[in-house]
Amino acid sequence: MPGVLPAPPVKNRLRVLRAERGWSQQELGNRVGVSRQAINAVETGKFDPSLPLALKLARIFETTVEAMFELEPGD
Amino acid sequence: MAKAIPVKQAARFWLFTVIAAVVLYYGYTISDYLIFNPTSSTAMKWLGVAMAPIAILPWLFVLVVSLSVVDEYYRRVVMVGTSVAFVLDIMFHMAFGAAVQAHVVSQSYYILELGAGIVSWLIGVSLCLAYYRLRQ
Repeated sequence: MPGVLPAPPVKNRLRVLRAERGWSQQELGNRVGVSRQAINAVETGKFDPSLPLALKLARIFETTVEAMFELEPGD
Repeated sequence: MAKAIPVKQAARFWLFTVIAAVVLYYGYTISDYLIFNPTSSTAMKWLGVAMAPIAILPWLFVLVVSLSVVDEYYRRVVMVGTSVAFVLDIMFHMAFGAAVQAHVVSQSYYILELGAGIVSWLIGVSLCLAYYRLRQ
């Protein structure tokens, strides 16, 4: 159902970073204080996290927000 | 929904939820009584009118507190779902009004506003939840 609510033009490396650490979505959610569904929605690009959540994720993965999230080419 | 709240706070919340339900039910009952009682003065009827919307305020507070303990993803779903519900509710009222004017629905029928609002809200939030889950 594309187009009604345009998907955020942001790519992220969350799934890769999580897989590298062997964490489940639930485990990552618990670490940053959100639900498994929220992590899934961020990973699949259905939901852009707030700045505080993005910063928490970056801290958990010991990286920067810019290294985790980037705009789709052309945006 | 990973945010946890202390047991004491949860107990207070549930107690307040029960109180809100009681206020909602009896608020409407008393409001109806004051409005439709033939012996009510104009002032009492106005009191009945005021009680109807005021009775829902504790429930709105329960909703706000509920929203404050869910994470930002669910908060987004509820916010967008509420917007959808607002449109659905308007459409339902317009359709009902048109149906009455067309005499396909009796003029003695009326909409239970609270019930219609709750159903619209549930549909709106459910649609939004399904949309966020299913969209590519």
